[in-house]
Amino acid sequence: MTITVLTPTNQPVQTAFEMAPRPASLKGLTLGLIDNGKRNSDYLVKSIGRRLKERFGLQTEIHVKKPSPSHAISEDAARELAEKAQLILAGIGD
Amino acid sequence: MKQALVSESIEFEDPDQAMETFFRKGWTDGLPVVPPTEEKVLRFLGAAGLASGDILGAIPERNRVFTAEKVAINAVMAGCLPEYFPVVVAAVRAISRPEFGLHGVSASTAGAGLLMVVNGPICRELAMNDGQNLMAPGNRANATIGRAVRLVLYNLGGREFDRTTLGHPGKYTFCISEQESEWEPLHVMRGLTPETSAVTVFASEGPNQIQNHSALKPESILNTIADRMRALGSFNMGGDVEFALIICPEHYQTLIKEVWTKRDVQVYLHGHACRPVADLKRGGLDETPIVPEDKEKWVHAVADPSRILVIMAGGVAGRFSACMPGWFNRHMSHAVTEPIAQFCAGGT
Repeated sequence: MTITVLTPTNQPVQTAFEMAPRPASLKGLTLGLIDNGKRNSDYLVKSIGRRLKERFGLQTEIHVKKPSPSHAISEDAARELAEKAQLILAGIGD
Repeated sequence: MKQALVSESIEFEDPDQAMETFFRKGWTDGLPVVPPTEEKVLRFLGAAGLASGDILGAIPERNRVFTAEKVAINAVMAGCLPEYFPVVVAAVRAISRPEFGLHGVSASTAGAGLLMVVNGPICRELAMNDGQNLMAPGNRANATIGRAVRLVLYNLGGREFDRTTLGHPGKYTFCISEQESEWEPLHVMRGLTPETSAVTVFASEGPNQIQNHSALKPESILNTIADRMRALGSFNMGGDVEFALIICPEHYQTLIKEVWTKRDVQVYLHGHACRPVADLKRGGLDETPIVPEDKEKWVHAVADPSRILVIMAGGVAGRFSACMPGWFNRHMSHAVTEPIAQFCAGGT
C-alpha cells in the first residue's frame, strides 16, 4: 500500500532586492563597516578599513555595531549605510 | 471544510521507503520519524485551532519563516500527539521572540540545547513527567515536544547553520515540567497566573548534576550548588548570563522545612556563586596580569538573583539537583515565557 507524505522543509523567503552597482574604482568612496560585537571584531574591522582606505583612496568610513552577534543591525543603521556608503564590509566570525 | 495544505507531497511504496528517504535527505535528527501524512497534519492544526498559513515565528536573519503547517509536519514526525501541538506552537513562538536571539543560539559553536519548562494545568492534562527520570527517556509528551522543536529548527531554520563544536544530548529533546509545590511555579515568578499554562524556553548547556546526600542545612545544599555554578569553563563567569537550576524534591524538603522561598534561594546563590577576579585571570578569562586587589574583587555567576531560573522537579528519592549554565550572554539571548493557547473545538 502506498503512502503519501508531506515535505518537512522550507526555503528562505525570497525578497526582491537590487544589488548596488559595482564601483569601477574605490577612490573617494565611503566604506561601511559592520562590527558584529564579537571580541576584537571592532579592532579587526577598523584595521581592515584603515588598510583599504590607505590602499584604495577611500574617502571615509561609517562604523555600525550590531546589537549583538545574534541580531541584525537596526533599521536606522541599515538606512544610514544604504544612504551614505557605496560598499560595505560585514561577516566577522570567531 | 478541509484546509488546503501547500507543502509538496511525495508518494512512497510503503512507510519504510518514506523513512529511508527522510534519512537520506537529512530531514530527521538521526532517529526514525513518523511519516507526516496530510490527515495527521490536519488533525494537529485542528487541535491548535490554526490555519495552515499562520505564521508562528521566524529567523529574520536567515529569511526563514515557521508556518503552522510546516511546524505541524515536524511535530507529527517527532511523534507528538495532536493535543501536544499547542505546547509546540507556544515553544516555537517563544524561541522566535527577538530577545531569545534564535539565530545565534542555533548557530553558535557553543551548541546550546533548547530547555523547555512547561508549567500550569496542561502538564497534568498531557501527563508530562515532572518526577523520576526527569530529563531522561520514557515520557512521550516530554520526549516528543522537545524533539518537535528541534526538528523545526533543523528543517525550517536551516540545519546548515548549526556549527556546534560538541553539542549535548539535550539537543535531541530537552523538555520537562515543574512539580506543583509550596514554591511559586516558574511561570508565576515570570509574571503569569497559576491557572495559565505556559512554556519557558532557555538556551542551555547540558545539565550538571549536583549530589549532596549529607547536608542537613539549606545553606550547605546551596553551597554545593554555588560551587558548581562558579565553574570557570561556563559563560556565567565573567559575563551577564542567566542560569537554570533544578532543585530535586529531597533538597526542596530540606529548604522548605526551613521556610526558604525560591527568592531566598536565588538571593543566596547570587551571593555565594562567585569567585575572585584572580581566579578568572588564572584561567585566562582575562589575560591581564594578576594584581593584589584581584584577590578581593568578586565576580558573580549571575548579575542579579532574578537571573536564576529555579525549577522544582525530579524523583522523590535521591538528593541530586542540577544546574544548567546559560548561553553566551543575556544581551544575545535570555529566557522567554510564553502562554500556551489552548483551543476547544466547537467552543468560543
